[in-house]
Amino acid sequence: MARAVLAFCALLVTAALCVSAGGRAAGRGADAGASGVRDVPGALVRRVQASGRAEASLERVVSDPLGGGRRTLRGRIALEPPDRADLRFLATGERIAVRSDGGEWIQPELRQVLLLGPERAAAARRWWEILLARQGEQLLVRRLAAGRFLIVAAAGQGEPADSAWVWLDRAGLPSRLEIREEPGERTAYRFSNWRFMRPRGRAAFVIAPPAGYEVVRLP
Amino acid sequence: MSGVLASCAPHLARPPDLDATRRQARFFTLLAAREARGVSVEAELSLWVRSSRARGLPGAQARLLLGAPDAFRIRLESAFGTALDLAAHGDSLTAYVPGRHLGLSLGAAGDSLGLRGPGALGYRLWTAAWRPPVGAWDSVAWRDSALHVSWTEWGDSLELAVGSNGLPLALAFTPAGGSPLTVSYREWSSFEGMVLWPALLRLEEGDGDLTVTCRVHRARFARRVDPARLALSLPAEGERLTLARLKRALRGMGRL
Repeated sequence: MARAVLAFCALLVTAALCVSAGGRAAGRGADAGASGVRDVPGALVRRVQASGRAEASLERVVSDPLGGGRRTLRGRIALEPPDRADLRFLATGERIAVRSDGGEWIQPELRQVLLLGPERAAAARRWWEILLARQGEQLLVRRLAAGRFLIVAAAGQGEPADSAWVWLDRAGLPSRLEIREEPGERTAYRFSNWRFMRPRGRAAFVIAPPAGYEVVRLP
Repeated sequence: MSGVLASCAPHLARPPDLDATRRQARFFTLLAAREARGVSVEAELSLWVRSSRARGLPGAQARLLLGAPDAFRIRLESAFGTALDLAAHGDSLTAYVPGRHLGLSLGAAGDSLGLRGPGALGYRLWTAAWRPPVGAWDSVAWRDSALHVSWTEWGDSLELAVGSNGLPLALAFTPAGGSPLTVSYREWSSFEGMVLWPALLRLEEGDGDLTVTCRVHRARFARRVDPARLALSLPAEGERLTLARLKRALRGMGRL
């Protein structure tokens, strides 16, 4: 039984990691309910489509039940339509780059790079694609107030429904995205200093594993 | 001149001290120091699971909270979210996978998992707070230079190997009627300059095919346990994993 317990722990860890790295299936096919997604980040979509690339400073604010209070991680986000997102956090050196054909997640503390297949990359992109007004999932958009929206992704097979809350600043650019990741708690992403520039192309959204890093392809 | 001559003389390796009484004394001194500092510990970890039957498993980062004498909470988390939150206190165990909104709560994990007191086991695992009873030291054994002490707890067999510096080298734990688990303490570190603390642990299942390696990067010590931080409450919404489903999962894991 001890073997089973250790195996249980090992599987729980592995399964949970896979979920963390974007275990939800993406692209539930129909566009039903997707109308209104374009209203959410309208200014961002217009400007990023005109320039080709958007960058912003990012703060991830999350509740910290172990340490008490909340923790803030600072980083950067880059978006290029139609399907590219890149997030990096300065303190940990973690970075995730995702595209429609997959992605990579680098974890310096583990000296590890996770390779994400198209499905996992799509799941990891799902909320960022809202910022680019991509329409691939069953999304219900509800305007809560001026510049504030609730977006609900319908439950899929064996997957719970998920909600995101989006705030726009006076310029109509996203200033805050909240996702319910923890019981009764929301994880907040705050955006500032939006900048628009020429696109760098797919190569800028591919992470080459550094020498000495273990490369793990997620199942 | 004598110093120069001494430096040129052949260096003789000092033989390990094979006096059981002195080693026992060193062991208890260091154990007492760990127990004193280990009332409440917060640590950052890296974990790697390896098995020849499941290759290519990713490593994971985690934060760990320990509360003496029988509680721990571990969260697998990264800058991009939490993968797993698991807490054990005494004989109860609670786990939650936020990405799936999936929870598991076992009030008597000893009955269901066959592993008595997962909270105390976890606490002792990460603090190396294995305390053989006094009588166990009457019949110790030497293997190489390690002192081995064996005892039983509630039908489970434990064998602790103590190194010449008085620190645990390994603990073999064999549940009644089960196969052994071994934890090896490969490295120790003096976090916060306080006390020697396990820094690299390796758990190994009986035949060594399944291993979990745990690197402790940082550890912080507090004087008091905060029960609220150790407790994991499952949300009212979300799915609860039943014991039957857990057993099916465990049977399926025989393939691991």
